Amino acid sequence: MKFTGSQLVWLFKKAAIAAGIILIILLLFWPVSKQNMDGKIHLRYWYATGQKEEIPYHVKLFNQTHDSIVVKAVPIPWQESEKKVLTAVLSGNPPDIVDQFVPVVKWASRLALIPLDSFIIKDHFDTSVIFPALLREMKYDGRIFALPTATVSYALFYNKKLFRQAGLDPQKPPRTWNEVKEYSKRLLKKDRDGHITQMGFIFYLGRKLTASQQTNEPALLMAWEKGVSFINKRGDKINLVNKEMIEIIKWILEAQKDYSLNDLLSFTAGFGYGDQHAFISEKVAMMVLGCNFPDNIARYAPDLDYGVAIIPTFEGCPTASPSGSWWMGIPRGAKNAQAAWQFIKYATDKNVQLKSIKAMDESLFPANRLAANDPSFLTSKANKIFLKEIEFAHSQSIVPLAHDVFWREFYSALERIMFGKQSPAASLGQAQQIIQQELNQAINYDHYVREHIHFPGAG
Amino acid sequence: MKNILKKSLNRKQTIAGYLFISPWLIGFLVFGLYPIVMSFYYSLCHYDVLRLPQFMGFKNYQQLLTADPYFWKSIWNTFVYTVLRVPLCIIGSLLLAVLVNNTVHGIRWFRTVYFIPSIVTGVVLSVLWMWMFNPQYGLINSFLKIFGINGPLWLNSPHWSKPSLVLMGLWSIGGGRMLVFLAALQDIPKHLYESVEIDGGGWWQKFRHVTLPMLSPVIFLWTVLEVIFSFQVFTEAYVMTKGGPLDSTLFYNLYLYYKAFDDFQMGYASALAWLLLVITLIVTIFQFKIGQKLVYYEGEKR
Amino acid sequence: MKSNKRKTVKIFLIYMSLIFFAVVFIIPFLWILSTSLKGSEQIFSIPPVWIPKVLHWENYSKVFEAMPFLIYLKNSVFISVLTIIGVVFSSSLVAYAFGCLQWPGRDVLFVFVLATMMLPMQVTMIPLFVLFKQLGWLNTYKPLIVPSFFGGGAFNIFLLRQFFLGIPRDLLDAARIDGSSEFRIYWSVVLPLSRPALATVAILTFMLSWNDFLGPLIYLSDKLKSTLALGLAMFVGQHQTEWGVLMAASVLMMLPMVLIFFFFQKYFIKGFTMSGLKG
Repeated sequence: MKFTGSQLVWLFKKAAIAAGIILIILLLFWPVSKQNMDGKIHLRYWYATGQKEEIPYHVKLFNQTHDSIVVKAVPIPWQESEKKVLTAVLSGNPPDIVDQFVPVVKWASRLALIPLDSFIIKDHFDTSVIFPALLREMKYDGRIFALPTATVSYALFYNKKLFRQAGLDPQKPPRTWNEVKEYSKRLLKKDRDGHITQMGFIFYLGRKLTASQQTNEPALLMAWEKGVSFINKRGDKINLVNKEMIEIIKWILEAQKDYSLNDLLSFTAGFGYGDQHAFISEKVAMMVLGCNFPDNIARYAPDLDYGVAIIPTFEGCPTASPSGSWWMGIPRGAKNAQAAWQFIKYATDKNVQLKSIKAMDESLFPANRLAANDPSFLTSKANKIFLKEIEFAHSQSIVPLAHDVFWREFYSALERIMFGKQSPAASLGQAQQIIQQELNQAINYDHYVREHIHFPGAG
Repeated sequence: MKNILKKSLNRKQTIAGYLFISPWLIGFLVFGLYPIVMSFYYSLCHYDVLRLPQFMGFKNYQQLLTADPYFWKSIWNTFVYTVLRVPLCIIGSLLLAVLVNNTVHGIRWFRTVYFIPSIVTGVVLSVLWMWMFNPQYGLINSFLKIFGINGPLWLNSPHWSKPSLVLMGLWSIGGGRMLVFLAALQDIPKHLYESVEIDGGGWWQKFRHVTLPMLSPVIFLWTVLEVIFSFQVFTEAYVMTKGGPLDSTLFYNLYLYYKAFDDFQMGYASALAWLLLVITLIVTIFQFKIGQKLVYYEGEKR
Repeated sequence: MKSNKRKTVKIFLIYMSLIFFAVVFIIPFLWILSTSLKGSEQIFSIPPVWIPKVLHWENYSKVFEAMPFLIYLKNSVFISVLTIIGVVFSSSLVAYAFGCLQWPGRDVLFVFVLATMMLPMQVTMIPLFVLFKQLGWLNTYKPLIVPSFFGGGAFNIFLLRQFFLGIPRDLLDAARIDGSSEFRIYWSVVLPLSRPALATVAILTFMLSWNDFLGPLIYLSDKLKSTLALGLAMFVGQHQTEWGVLMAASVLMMLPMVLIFFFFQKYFIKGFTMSGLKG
């Protein structure tokens, strides 16, 4: 059976196409298995990052000191990290360790984490080294689902040079909000067209400024200082519309009287990150910023003449600082839970934490009590103030089962009030109703799920 | 003999026909029909994919329609955006097509230049215009400053955010849509224009009595399509404004995405999706009804 | 003489308008290019500077530092190429059935196919996510590629069918009488003749796939699996005010699109004019 030349060509073409299609199908459906030939356990560690994507120092230390385990750290932008991890859990092939911000309950109730109790017991891990308040937030259904590695603390940063220029005493930072208001009046500067060029303290309502400048919502701080509790003890009733909140909001609106909303928005639209940060570029003289900020200043404006003070409050009220912790947990479906636990345990060790903080930029506050009280950590005055503020810490995980909705509605409500769209009572009322609804549903769903599923234990 | 041949040929075609469309059919059943049906089921549940579905009857719909201000806000936002964008874009492309229909020297070059912006879409388009719209340093406000106008805050203003997005959309009016209009324009028989001239009509009469009616099928088709695309606006809002400020750019699709993939409330989001389907159907049928009245098809007496 | 004068005025006005719009459309491109070469000292200057004093080429190299650009590029190319193959072959196959074959129910089904163009994708988005989860396809490229092998989209089917309708019946009938199978006819007769239309479909598909954002956003969680569109969006979220680098990244991402446009201009233009989208 002989083929002619053109028939051969035809056959060849057909064969090539068939081979191509088979190759493509193989490529598509070939299971991607990473066989590591070096006999070590390879852990994938997804950590949430902000601007910097440095590999956390404890990863380097761990890899140096542990022979049989290698940790590969992958940075994930924090806005997306939750969604990405949950999708990874759903895909059946999640990373071995994740690093997130509270609340843990949100993750645990969604069956996204493995409980750590059996590991803790087997290894005789002493949980008392962790700040008790932080540890409390790691629990769900009576079990511990994660360990906190770092927490945050805030303080009032103020620009001494600008204080002097405005005739204020740089050794006397404001202690009360009224003082902040008075100082701001003197620090406010406008140009010939009436545009703001410098401000004392920005009394802002809503998320935009706070998220981009990582400062804190004054209304929130004031509410905590006045003892407002946004949720009842049992955790099923939201309390947003109350006398104190409305008073606080009215006070803030009053403090904004020296400039128009448009001017304020124009001014804040020019803020950025790094050397364009409002405090670093000396556009704003007083801001409530986190314990990671001194590193930023050292990098972008080392000559900045600034001071750190306790966050101002109202007469007779204690100060307040937002807290909450970064934690590490093991996603459900992770292949190397035991090795992952080793890594988590290591990261909470006092010496590891101290070394990490020294080596990292934008370091956070250690969750290990012993590390925090260690003299080597308390060398800077700023850290002493941060440590003091931790005593007045209020967790940001107020409504764990409806965490995102709570904050989204809270800030939206404030934004609406600032723009004059709704009265404080109406706006807060709307937010309260939505959050309450969400919470009811979440509690209901949680009970339903628990009736039908037996929560998995650790491996 | 011929009949038998024809019959077997016909049979061959029929078999081939069904065989060839089978990819589409399978695709439709698996990636189309099945999801639509499941979507309805999920919309009756509380479900976050990580745990099991909890049947809740029509509770989701009830909550959506009676206790969710964001639902109404997103419908309003999408409606305003559509009403602003579709007419402006269609008219813009049409006028541009008329302009570009002139066979002056070098017209091809102009058509090419007008087309290029339309190949920039999605994330890149959003990033570029985020910068253009920057209230302090962006090109638009800097340009306005030359005339002494203090430009608005564009994407940072609850009032200007949607117009900003519409303005951005106008950058691509020289794209495919314009080309289709152009082709349709060139298809209009010259003698129709001549008969208007004979009657003493000028360019406006020509436009109104010849161009518009002859183009009405194309215009209608594109309007229907553009409305449907408008309902699905997502990327620009997600990248540029994340729904703000003050939820002014919280479009329906964005709200759905947040509910589904940020809150992992698949049941609620599915209810949103089904309502959108219903709304789209109603709007499209409504458009077709209007279309029947206004659109002129060849061979009809006007 | 008067009509000559009117004619020149008319041409003058036309050119003025043409040039006006050309300038308006081109300026954003110049702006993005200009910003991509500026350092922060000139980006944040009022009034804006068009030609930077110092050309900060390092904005471009910073893009490669700030994100794994080449990996994203590889991923985008991989997904786009496979998608194009899937779309071109399956939509042409289906279009052939509608355009070149006679079978009962053909026209009714075609109208139905068109109707699916009006389906908002939100309705299927969530169940597809659940379906892909059950199939174990989450965090892989399969959800982005596999569906394109099944029909390739109603628009493409419509476009190709339009083109196929223009192929003379006699050609097809002759081949049939010769005993060729319909697939043979499709493969050896119709496809080669349809190269321009296929090219148009390929290009349009490429544009959609390259810029696809929602798909990768939902299905991919591994950072190293991201596409360019997704990578750029993530970058915006993190480095929102590093405009120089952002613009450089955008220019880099636009480059393939613009290049393809310049090389295949006529297919773009032809595609729209021939598409029969005139009603």
